Amino acid sequence: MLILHCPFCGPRDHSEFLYGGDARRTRPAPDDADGARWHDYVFLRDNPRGTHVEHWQHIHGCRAWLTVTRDTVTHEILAVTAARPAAAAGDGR
Amino acid sequence: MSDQPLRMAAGGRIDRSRRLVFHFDGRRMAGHPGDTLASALLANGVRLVGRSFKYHRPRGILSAGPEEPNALVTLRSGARAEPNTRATMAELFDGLEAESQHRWPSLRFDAGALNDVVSPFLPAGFYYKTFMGPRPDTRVWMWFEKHIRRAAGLGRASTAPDPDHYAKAHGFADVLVVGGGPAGLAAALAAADGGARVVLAEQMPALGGGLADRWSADGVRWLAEAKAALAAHPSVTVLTRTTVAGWYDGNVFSCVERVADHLPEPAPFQPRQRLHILRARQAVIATGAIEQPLVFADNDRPGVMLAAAAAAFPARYGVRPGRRAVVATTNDGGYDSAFALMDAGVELAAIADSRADPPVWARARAAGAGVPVLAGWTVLGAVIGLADPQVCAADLGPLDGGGGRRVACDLIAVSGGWAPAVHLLSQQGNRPAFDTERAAFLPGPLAPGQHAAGAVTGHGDDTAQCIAQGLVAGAAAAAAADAPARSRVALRRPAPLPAAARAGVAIRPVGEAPDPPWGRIRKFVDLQNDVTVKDIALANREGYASVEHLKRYTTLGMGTDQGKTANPAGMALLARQQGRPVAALGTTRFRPPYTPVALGALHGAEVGATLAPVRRTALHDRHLAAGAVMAEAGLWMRPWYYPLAGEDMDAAYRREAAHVRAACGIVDVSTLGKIDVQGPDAALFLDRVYANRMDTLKVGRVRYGLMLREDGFLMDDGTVARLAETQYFVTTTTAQAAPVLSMLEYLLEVAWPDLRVHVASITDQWAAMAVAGPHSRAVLAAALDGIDLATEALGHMGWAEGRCAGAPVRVHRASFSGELAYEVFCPTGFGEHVWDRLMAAGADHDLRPYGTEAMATLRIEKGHIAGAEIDGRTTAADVGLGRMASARKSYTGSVLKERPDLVDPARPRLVGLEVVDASARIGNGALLFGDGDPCRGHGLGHVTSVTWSPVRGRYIGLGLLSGGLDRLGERLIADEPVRGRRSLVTVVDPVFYDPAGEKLHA
Amino acid sequence: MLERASPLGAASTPGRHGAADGPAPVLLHETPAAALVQVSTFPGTEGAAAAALAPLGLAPLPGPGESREAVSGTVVTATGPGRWLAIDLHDGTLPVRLADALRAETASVVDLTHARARLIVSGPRARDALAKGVPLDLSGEARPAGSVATTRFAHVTVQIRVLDDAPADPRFELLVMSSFAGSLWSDLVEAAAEWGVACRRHG
Repeated sequence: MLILHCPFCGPRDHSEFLYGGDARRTRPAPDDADGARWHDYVFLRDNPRGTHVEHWQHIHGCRAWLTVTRDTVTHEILAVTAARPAAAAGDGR
Repeated sequence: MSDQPLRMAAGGRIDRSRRLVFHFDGRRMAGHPGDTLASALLANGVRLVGRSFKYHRPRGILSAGPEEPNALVTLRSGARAEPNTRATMAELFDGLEAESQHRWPSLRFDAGALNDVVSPFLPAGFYYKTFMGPRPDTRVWMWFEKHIRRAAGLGRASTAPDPDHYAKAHGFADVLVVGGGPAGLAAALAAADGGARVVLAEQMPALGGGLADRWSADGVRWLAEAKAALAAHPSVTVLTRTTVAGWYDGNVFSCVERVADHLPEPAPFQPRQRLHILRARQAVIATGAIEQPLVFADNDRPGVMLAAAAAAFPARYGVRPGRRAVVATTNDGGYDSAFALMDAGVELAAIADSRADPPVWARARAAGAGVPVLAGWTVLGAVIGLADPQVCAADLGPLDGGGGRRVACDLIAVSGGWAPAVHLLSQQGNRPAFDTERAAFLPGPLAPGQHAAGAVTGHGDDTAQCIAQGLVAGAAAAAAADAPARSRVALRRPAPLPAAARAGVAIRPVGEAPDPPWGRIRKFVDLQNDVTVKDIALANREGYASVEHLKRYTTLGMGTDQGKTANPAGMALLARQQGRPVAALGTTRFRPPYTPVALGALHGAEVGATLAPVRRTALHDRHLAAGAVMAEAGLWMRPWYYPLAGEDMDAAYRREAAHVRAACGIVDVSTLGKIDVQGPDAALFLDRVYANRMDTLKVGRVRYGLMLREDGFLMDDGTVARLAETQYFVTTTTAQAAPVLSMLEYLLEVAWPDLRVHVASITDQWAAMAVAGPHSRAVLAAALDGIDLATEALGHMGWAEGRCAGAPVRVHRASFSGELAYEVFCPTGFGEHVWDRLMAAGADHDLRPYGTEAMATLRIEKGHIAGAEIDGRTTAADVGLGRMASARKSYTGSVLKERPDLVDPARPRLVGLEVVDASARIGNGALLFGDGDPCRGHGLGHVTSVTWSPVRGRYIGLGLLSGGLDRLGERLIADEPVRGRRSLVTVVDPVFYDPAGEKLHA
Repeated sequence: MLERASPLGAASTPGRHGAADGPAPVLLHETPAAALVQVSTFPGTEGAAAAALAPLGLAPLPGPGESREAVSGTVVTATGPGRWLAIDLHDGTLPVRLADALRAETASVVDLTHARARLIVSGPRARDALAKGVPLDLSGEARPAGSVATTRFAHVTVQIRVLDDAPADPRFELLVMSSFAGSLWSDLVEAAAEWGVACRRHG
């Protein structure tokens, strides 16, 4: 059982969350028409042995999307922040 | 004839005032509360309790605890029958029934013993090398495999429904102490004293561990005081009969509490077992050590027992495990067991100590009792009687070779050393380190949050030391847990035990005893899986040289006992085969569970009807009252059809669908996903998310919307209603409601955090009913107030608000069926009220309810796509909606939908299909082939949705066909290989009904 | 006044369930709220929202995991970053009053009055019953009165507010999506049956 420390809700079982995949992809701008950039964003992933930064959504909680740094070998959770940039910077709640 | 011939006149922690009756293999016997099945059997002189897995050798009871590999019985009968139950763990209750396993026709005379005769042909891995036929044909192997499978396995499980129920419990503690022996009790005391919330889990019914099996008065006193102090402390929870089965990430533990296993039946409403999912900040592992047997010829015979276990039977149960014993040991602990047996009235014939220099105190006591001590000797073989497969003598001899002697006995008590129970730590990745002084693997360096104390750290020989370690570990755990300051309840610590008179870890492992002077020698290493010394040598010879390969090739350690009394010897033998030190080999990693867990404990309340939650709409009871047959749609219950007397499903839905077109019908569509979208940037947001334009949608209007996935495929379809300048009401399909909501939230928080938009699920806020058919306007006019329903006022794809008998409603004029239709939304709590009012108003217009089956008929006749056509592999163009996707904006999926393979004109496209023969029936998933072509491969496409059409008077369907409507008019074969059916169909336009839409715009 | 039907269906029967000796150690009562309203602010607009809500007595807004009761009796719970749920047991006009008070650029207001069922679980064994499905520490120390958490009971999302954290007789308010209400009710009855549960419901 991974325990994720949701910044809003505190430590929770991973079964309260929905996994959202690699958080390090760069999403092209909405009006970006470049097929190669969209292809890379949608299909290409690294599969690191070690630290992985990924998205999880706290669906059985505050429903916030979170950015989680997890070690894929030890399952240690190294960091959890809100995915939304403004919230992560501590700007209001 | 005395019953229970081996029951001692006094002693043991049993209730002699009550007699329990039990049956084993049909034979009626007696025991007492406090007995296990094993102790009661031994008391009654029963030694033979089972047959081994592979060779069907007669087996008896080896141990007194959970490490038991041999005495596996089927406990209880009927629906509660539990195969492979260790007799040493089954607590006796009145009326208990047990059967031995894996033998036919009887335990004494088992036909399977033939396997033992041909055993030279059945070494480890034999079936990897034999029973093979000529390549590439595997039929020969498959035939043998059937029979090998039938011969394998131990007990047989019941297939009847489990009459018991099980519970789960989420638990939280500062410190979990695993093991209720002296070290664990001390750790719990210290941790509680340190302010921690403590849970102590002990797998046996009673606390005390090894301390409880010894005779010392000080030990008894200490135990009583410790138990009383813990019971009185409000922050301590003591769980007995509770096995910590697994240690998972996040310091989460699964603890299986056997709530009612020791009772004939659970009390009413009592769960049979409880699975605690316990989160602990710190854990103290005080799991003790498991005594190991010795490896010698025929060491698997009934009458060979672990020495401390043999001594536990008198102490715990007042049972002598035999009348005349030989004790063979490698360490000091064997003497404690030997003298305990002697004090219980068992005659000691001899003590064989592998060490050349046994301790002085032991020699002295033995000499005083006239018991010979044979230094440097061990057991070479167990001798059984001709008539009775039980030990009748032991062949003893020197380790270094030379002449031996045969000693008559009925019990060979062996102590091959103590292996710390490191299983839980190993589950967490701890790598045990080999300690040469103790010839055992001790826990490796502990990670933060982990503590260990007692025999598990190798100090089992010294009880005072175990207690001292426990006190230190408990205090450290409490401090590290950083428990909030609690009101400290004074804890009365027991007065310490006096220091041990003697302690010593000197051990001389035997490895493999020299051969006795017999033929046909088998020396067992893993008793449960019948793995012998020869198997280990074979594995090593064949190159399976790592411990991981050894385990899997020979199945050493893969039985239900996980090799608790086998792994250490097996690894030592492998090391010796390779001429390497044991330390160099390492150990395999243990996996949960530590001991077998009932499936019931794992599923708890989530089984059968309560496997998953059920979602019901506001109209659920109305559907039931109307006689609806309900069906599951994901988690929802939806009305499938409303049969009249004598109707089956086919008759019902055909009638319902025809009636909607002829008059009018009402269907509950509350399960559709509904999402509130609000904010200054709501219009821009929706325009980015839908393939068709949403920024031009005006207040008062509803628009059909197509959502694509980022990869360009169709994700969902639904509607968008603009309620206000900055507020929208979005609907999705039932199945995609949750994924769509999560996707929208992801876009707003991760991709476009600058947009000022909020989305919220309002699926449960609104009930929704669709009224459809030529009379629908009239019905609504009679039922609703405050809405002008004339087509000029409320045109197709518009919405309006009003009231229905006092309840606020909003009406969307939209149609899934192709008829004039209205969707009526009202707050959920008024749903029944609105339904009743519509039904009353509809009485004059022949309004009848219809279900999801008829709803499908209507939409298929109208060529509307649904979930079957949006299966994740189709694009908008595939289903004929290519022109809906706007070419003038960017939106999710707009770029990747232009990939060459997604715009390839050869892709299968949506068509209508109609059976040629009006009496034919086609089904979903039918493959389409050209008429006259062989039906092989994937064909030209497949059928996605089917229904019997009242409009066409025959079966119709929608499908995806290569070439699409270019094949209009062609005849195809619809082939259903699984159903064994084949029909001819014609390719037609997917809109079977009212293509001009006159009904819609009435 | 139009009567609101309970989200619990006919299958959720009141009365005593489970073990029947002695007073019920678990009480399960359905008592609906007159209004439930979700308010969501944008990054940086929380101050403006609080200012707009102050005249209604609903400011300051509670922080993560907390709730605050206004003089009027309206309780505001913090449910997520920039998101609150206001609960009023008597005043059904709250959704309209909040929508009127808050501008679209400041906050979004969603009426969820009909979207939730409200169940009160109390009694000496309330914690034990809830522990069968809730993966949170419900002890008084971990969750004092007034604390709020959204979590699950088995597979159903619930918002739990601690009304009373007394060790011997706690009270918990559970808000669950209406469509799941009947399912949660039977899960709770089954969980509490081991000790006995007395059930009361609306409608």
